[in-house]
Amino acid sequence: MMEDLSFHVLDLAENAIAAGASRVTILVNENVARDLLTIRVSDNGRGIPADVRERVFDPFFTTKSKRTGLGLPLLAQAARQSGGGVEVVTAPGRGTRVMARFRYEHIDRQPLTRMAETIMMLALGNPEVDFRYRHRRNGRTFKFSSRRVLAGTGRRAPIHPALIRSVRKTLQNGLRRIGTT
Amino acid sequence: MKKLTIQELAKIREKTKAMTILREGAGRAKVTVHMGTCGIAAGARGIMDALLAEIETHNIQDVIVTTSGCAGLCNREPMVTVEIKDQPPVKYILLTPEKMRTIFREHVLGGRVVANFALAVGSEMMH
Repeated sequence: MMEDLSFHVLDLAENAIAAGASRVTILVNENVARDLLTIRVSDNGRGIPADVRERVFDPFFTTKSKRTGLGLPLLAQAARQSGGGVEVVTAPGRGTRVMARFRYEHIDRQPLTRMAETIMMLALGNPEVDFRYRHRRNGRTFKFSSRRVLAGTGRRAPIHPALIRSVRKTLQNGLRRIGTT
Repeated sequence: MKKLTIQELAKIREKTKAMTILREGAGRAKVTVHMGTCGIAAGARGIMDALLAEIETHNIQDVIVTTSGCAGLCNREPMVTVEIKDQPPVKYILLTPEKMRTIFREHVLGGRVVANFALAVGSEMMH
């Protein structure tokens, strides 16, 4: 199962890529004072038609013949068990936005963890997609744009070890600076 | 013009597939990590992390890394597909970071298929 929340971020972003998105925006906001953690993943992909939208939280529903279709139901469960919820705003041709809220201090809230690895994986595995990642923690913000870092890297091109190192460092240092990982 | 048989078409397809990597980039190999919900839940992120760390450690500059969705074998995840030029793609199943490191050193760098971890080579089932 998805034992930490960054897995859900990865899963939502993979959904966005599968929907043909060229830009995926990931916002994480840790507001300890307000006991609130929010995760928002929005994309410019093809969006979801209304009849499908109604069923995205049904664990037995999927649009793909071979895919599992469990991603959103698992996220909704993780949010509900920590006093929060999930909202999906989408329309055909207008992209999709998924917002998940969690009570920060709730005993059943899964830890966030490993956001640096998650964003690195998305950026390096999909160089043709622009990932815009903003992480706020108690008023301090770290911003990362994969297009800026990976400019000129194509999907079919070999990956340079120096690039891996630089992306890893940028993300780890940035998150450390705002007091998270 | 003589009609092509299914067998001939299949042969052409395999041949083109092997050549695609060569043509599209300067890579010696392409490694695809399966990142569907099933793959992610089974630990694909740790596999990708191990793969990237190997590329860094060995300072390898000609390996293409990419991700794909679910391949329909969710109970065999985490999975990766390794493609070496002029050879048919190999799917590896039920991976751990340690197995990924072995595959990287043996297959990607050494050119030897790690048969123990493979689902299939070409179209023949190995186990």
